[in-house]
Amino acid sequence: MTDFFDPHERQSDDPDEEVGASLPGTPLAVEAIEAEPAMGREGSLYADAWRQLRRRPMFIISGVLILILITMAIWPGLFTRADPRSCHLEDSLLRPSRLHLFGTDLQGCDYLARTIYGARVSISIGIIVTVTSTFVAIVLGSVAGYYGGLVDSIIARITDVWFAIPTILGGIVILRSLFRVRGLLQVSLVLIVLGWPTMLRLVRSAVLSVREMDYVDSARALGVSDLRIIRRHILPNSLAPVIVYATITVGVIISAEAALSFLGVGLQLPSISWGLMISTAQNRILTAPHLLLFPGLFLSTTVFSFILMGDALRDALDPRLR
Amino acid sequence: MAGSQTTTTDMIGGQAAATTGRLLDVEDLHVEFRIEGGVVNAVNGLSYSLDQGETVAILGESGSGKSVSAQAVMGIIDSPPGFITGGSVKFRGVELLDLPETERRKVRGDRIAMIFQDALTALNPVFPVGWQIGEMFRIHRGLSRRESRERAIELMERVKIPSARQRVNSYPHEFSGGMRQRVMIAMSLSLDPEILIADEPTTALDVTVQAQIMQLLADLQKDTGMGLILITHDLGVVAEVADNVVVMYAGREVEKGESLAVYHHPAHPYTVGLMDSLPRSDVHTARLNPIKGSPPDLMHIPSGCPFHPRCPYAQEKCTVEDPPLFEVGPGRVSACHFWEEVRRDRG
Repeated sequence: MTDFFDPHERQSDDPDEEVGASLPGTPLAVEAIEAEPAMGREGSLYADAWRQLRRRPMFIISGVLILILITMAIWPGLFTRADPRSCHLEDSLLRPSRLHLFGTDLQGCDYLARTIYGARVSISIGIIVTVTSTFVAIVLGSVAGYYGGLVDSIIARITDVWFAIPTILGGIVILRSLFRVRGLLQVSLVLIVLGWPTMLRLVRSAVLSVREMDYVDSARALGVSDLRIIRRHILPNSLAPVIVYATITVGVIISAEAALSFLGVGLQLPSISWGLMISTAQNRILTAPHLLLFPGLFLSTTVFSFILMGDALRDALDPRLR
Repeated sequence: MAGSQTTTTDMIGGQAAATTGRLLDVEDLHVEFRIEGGVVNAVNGLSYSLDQGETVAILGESGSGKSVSAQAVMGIIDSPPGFITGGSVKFRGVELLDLPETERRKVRGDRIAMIFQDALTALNPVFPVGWQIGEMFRIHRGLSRRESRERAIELMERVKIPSARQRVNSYPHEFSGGMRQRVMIAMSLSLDPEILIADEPTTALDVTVQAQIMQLLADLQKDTGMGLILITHDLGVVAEVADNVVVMYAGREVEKGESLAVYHHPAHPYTVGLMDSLPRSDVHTARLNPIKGSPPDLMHIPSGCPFHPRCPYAQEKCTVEDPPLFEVGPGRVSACHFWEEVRRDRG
């Protein structure tokens, strides 16, 4: 029977050449020959995607930007020595200069410091909201998609109703009517509550399509339990679009927070947030354009980085786009 | 199963020693799918039995209900929309259809296993094959990762995958079609099932590889004495490997009997049609001779004999009267009013 062994396999002399070609996993196979017990090592898909990503400018640029922004959010002191809350009214509305690189605002606070400290709120909200709503969506979405029937109908209908509430409008209503004090947690909560339906629909549809795969039937035919099928067979195969969408969502949520703050229903002073800064700046666009420019620039760069990262991930995780 | 607690599966195991070689009795099985716009009658009365070491082939076109009937035996029909509306499936005398899901799951994989048509889609793309074969041992036997890996390698060697130890961590897409089917077979054999259901195991493969896989299945069957249910549309395969054959049309059995007898002396016009639509090396004809028309819409199965719209023997009677199963020989039945004429014509 050995003569049957397909000679085409393992013939790749040049593993690098194979990347992105029709046999994307071949270099892995070569690694597997020196196999140490690595059972449960997940995903040629993900290992493959990582190899792809490392050489993509889109991924590198967005990755570097996101790293800088996250560092800024965690240790803002690394980027500015000024205290964003020590303000001198006599310095009100200074134009950018060597002393104040981004100028000062109406109260005479250093605008560079305020812009940098603003990253913390935006990025925290973006990540908290995305992680939480993705988690909720994965749990409910896989239950709905896998079991179908009545459970699915109930979850799907509730999602549809929820989905119909526009984020900004819903945010205004909930934030205005429920919370007297609006800080990071309140705004995050509202964005989570309004944000999970889209994610859930995505998870559910990914699970629905994976559920039809023969390996799920095969696992069932071999007596694998439902929980294990969801965990081991369905989720690893349906996460790719979820990861992509979650990355983009971070950017979208950050801009939603800015929008809510701009409209006066999001964060309140004395919080430091780009949305608030833009909101305050709108009355002085002509006299002090820098007040709008810098937070606006940071906000759009952040949103842009996450969306770019999402696109890079999508290209790498979806083999059909290669 | 080292049964400490008394479960139904243990009970089945206990009976194994006592009873003779009868593994499976399927009787008058009915499956329907309730979908928007109506009810699809996928299986309408199917009966067969399987003994130890025996091979039963279920033969039919796409949509004849052969795969659904196997899924019903396995208990993996999606419900809803699928419902088993009648009949019985007895495994070693125990009614499977009445078992609660937890007991049923112990039968699946452990006592009755199944392999699928397309091994590429039937293997999880994100895990190495060794992990997937070993999963069986971890779930059903509670083995550790290391032990299950060793067992996976043994199994891969048993299904003749070359350099199994090196390939245990390879992913499904790194294997050729035939090798993937071997991996599937290794998975299904992992727990020494008593029955293996093979749902068109060779349809997606090259002809030469098909023969190797069939040979492998036959060898393994000889070693283990398991019963094999072979679902296929390939009459040639049936004649070569099956002991008995059930020919299905529109979800019901139309002819049943010892496979060589059915092959050489078909007694139902549908079986005849299936044979005539095969390319033959001994008769030179310019064209193949397919069965006219197409399989019936299972939502609207024709009155009388479901095959009558496509049947060259059909007469008035066939449109109104559903033919019973006529005994046409020792252990052979045919659901055709005119089986004698069919028989005579095939000389």
